[in-house]
Order: sequence, then C-alpha cells, then structure tokens
Amino acid sequence: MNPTGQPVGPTEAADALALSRRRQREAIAIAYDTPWWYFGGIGAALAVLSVPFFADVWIETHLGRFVSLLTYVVGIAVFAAALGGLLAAVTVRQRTQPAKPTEPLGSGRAIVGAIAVFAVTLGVLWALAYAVLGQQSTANGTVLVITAVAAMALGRPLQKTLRDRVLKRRGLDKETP
Amino acid sequence: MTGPAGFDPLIHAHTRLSIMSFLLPLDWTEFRLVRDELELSDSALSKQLSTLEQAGYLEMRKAFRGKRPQTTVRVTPAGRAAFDGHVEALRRIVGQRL
Repeated sequence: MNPTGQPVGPTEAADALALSRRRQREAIAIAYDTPWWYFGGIGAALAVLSVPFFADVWIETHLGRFVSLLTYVVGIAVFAAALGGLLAAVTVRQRTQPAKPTEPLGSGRAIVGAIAVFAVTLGVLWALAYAVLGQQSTANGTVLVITAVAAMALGRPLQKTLRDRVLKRRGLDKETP
Repeated sequence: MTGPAGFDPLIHAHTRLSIMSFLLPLDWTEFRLVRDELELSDSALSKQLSTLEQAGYLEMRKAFRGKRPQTTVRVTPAGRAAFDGHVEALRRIVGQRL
C-alpha cells in the first residue's frame, strides 16, 4: 500500500522505479563531474616540478651548485603549494559532491591494486627513460612530464569510465529498467 | 491489506523515495546539496530527513564550519537494505525482473 493507503499498482510502481533511477543517476552525475581544471592543475604542478630536473645540468654548469639547489627547492615548493591547493579543492569538492571512493573499483583492495599498478608503471617508465637518456635528473623530468600530460589528457576520460562503472554496478547504465 | 514483501510505505512516499535514491550512491552529503538538487524547502527536507533518521535509514551529522552550522547526511546499512527491498518489491509489482 502506498502512503495514502491505496494498493500500489504496476503504473505507480513503474513511476516510482523511474523516479528512483533518475535520482540515483543525478547523484552519480554530480559526484563524477570533476571540472577539467583539477586535472589541468595536477598536470601543471607536475610540469613545473619537472623544470629543475631538466635544467639541472645547465644551471649547475652556468650558475653554480647553490642556484641549482635553490631551483630544486623553489620547484618543490611551487609543486607542494599547487598540490596543497588542489587537495584543498578536492576536499571541498568531496564535501559538496561526495563520491564514494571505493565504489568505482568495488573495494579498498582494488584501489590499493590500482595504486600499485600506477607505481609500477611509473617505475618502468623511469627505468626506460634512464636507459634511453642515461641521466638520472633528465629521466626524472621526463617521467614527470609524461605523468603531467597523462593527468591532463586522461583525467576526465578516466573519470567518465569510473562513472560508467558505477552506473553499471548499480544497474543504471541502461535508459530503461 | 499488506503489500508485497519488502515494500516499505515509509520509503515509497515520493519525496522520501527521491531523498533515499539521491543519497544512496553518495557518501556524507551536505544538506544544502540535497535541498538544491531535489528542490525542497529547508523545512520540508528537515522533516523528511528526521523521519528517515528515526526509522534508522539515515544518519545525520551536525557540525560547524567556522560559525556556520553544517548538516551532512548519509544512508545507513539498514536504510540501504530497506531501499533494496523496496525496489525489489516495486519490480515484482511491475511484473518484470529488472
């Protein structure tokens, strides 16, 4: 029976289901709609951090070891400030548009696995860069630039994939039930 | 007269069904987000949230951000189970397995 005491018929039940699906889809759309500039910001911060690594040898040769060290300190400070700002923005976003962090991958274990894959990929990239370039600081810079470009280029598409996974897990991926 | 097993008249009310459906995929959610997205007044939303909280379907957290009070809300495991049961009951009424 519905709240007015009447038996619930198929039409009312279908309407209720449609309403429920629509509201869930709206909530998921909000939770997985991070603006592009979050990913752009991550990429830009990483790109800034890569500069001292690329310029390391030149700066040390032409400007001395102290300036080289100072460049690293400034680069890391800019990166830390940018990352801090982004984390603050993400915190606010998580508070106002709160996705469940474990839902797209299904469990905390899957998240740890994804982070492990990411770390191994970075390690392999670095080893390849070092093998090709033969210099540690340039390899560091190269990996940072690759990660920066990946964050900027893949952030939004990856988030869309995560959103689609959530919709599928909840059986909301099709228009009609 | 009783409804099909799992059918929950408390959740079935239009506004409460909207609230439960909206909150289900989300973690702790700000009151104002729910209010704005579902286009409810503060008092209407407060009343429905209290009803759902008393039923054990939602939990509410009240805190202060600076001087401004902030209420956040999320669905409890009991609320999720009740919601899933209700949806199943609706599907049975509609007569097709979804």
